[in-house]
Amino acid sequence: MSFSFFIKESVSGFFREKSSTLTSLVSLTFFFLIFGIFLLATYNLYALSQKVKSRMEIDVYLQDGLTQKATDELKDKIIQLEGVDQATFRSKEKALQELKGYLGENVLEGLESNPLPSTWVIKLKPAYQNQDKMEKVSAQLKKMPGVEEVDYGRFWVEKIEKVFKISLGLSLSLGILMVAGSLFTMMQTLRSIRRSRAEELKLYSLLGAGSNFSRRIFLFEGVINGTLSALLSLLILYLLFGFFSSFGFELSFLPLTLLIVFVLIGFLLGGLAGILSGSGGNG
Amino acid sequence: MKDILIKLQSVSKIYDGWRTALGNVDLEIEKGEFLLLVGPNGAGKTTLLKLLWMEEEPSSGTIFIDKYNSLGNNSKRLSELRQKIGVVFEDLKLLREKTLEENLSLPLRLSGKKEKYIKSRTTELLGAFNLYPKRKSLPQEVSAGERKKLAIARAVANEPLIILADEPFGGLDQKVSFEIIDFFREINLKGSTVLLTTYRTDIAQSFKWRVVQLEKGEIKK
Repeated sequence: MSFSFFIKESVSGFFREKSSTLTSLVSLTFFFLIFGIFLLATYNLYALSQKVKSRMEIDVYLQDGLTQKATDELKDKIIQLEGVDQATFRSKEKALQELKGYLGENVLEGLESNPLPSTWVIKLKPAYQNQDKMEKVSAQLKKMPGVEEVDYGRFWVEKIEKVFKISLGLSLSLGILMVAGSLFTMMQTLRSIRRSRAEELKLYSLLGAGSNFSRRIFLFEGVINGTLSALLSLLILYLLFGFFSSFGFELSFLPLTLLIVFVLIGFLLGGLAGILSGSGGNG
Repeated sequence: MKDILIKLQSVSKIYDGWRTALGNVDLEIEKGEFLLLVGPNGAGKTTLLKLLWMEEEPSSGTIFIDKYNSLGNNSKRLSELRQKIGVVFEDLKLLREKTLEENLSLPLRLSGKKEKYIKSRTTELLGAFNLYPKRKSLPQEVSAGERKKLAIARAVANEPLIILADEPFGGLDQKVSFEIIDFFREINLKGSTVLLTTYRTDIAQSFKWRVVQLEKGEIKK
């Protein structure tokens, strides 16, 4: 049969059951929108955590009086450690200068000697910029001769990772709820369309359409419903994003890959609902 | 040698485990035959037709149609068989939301005919059944006779091997009924095997071809 006839038959179900189709579309768009909001929040938190982590460094404070040779040997050992990207030396004097820069000249006026240690400032490779790996590298650094103390801003890393994990967990939970809710709503709608078209579909079968015909119709209707809802919710999400961005929030919208995945979820969910509601013979 | 197209072998149909609609029916219909199945309401005529277009399965016995039989048909074979059978249903089963033209073209579309052919065949049939001026009307907007003609036109659209018509004369006067017999006769002359059912004795008495009488689910003659 021609594709245009098939499309016409598929779409006609929506117009036949206007109210339930509209209800389903609104509910699905709402489900997708809520999921989209959390996905956007998680994505921005992830981007923020990556940004913060990329700026995070491990400070390796050296023991006082360490010779130049021992300092250089220590750098060689540090560089050889797995995950270390680069090590930059910060002398006692430079550390003091930087502190004065932060606090002002006057605050440190009474000091007789420079109490700040020389430091190897270490930057890790991106894959190592998380709490576990930083902890492991720090532990190895601590054991090295000539090292007084190691600090990597553990508090902040822990906080960021915790917030990100909570947000990710919420998004995943909402995602699962959205999948269940959307599937249920779409199946109800398609079943209602199926009931209203039962006689018609039976006639098609008696005229030789084959049982696959109605299955394909419901598959297609499901796909249209799911994809359209996902697209509509993305549009609303984008408008909301524009609205909040205008208040000066530095947010990023979902990248193209996630947008495609989002629409694909709608497409697949719709298809699944179509298959589940269209299963069973029609005479 | 007879060229048997339809064969019913000891076919019974029992509903709800006790109500016998057809009992042990044996019937052979030759290719190209024009046959009238008569009997009062409840004789089992519609049941027999439903078994032939395989909307229902026999409780026992076997039905052979062309190269198909009633045992173990899968969805694809069933679809193939139904495309070879044109049916005029007792309640016509015309779609209210579709125009006469769209209703008529359904079997052609469902069997995958090309758009150009669908257009020309539909126009040809609308003309032949005097329905062309009303092609854009909905079934409920035309007369009962015109609806009947549309159902017949839809049944013959695919030039099927077999035409089954369940009470095609119901509610029609004798004149229109004979017009309809003439339509079927023409279709029969083009090669289709035609099986009509009716409860009307006036039609049966004047019918020139083979008549099979069904009573209480059994063939009487």
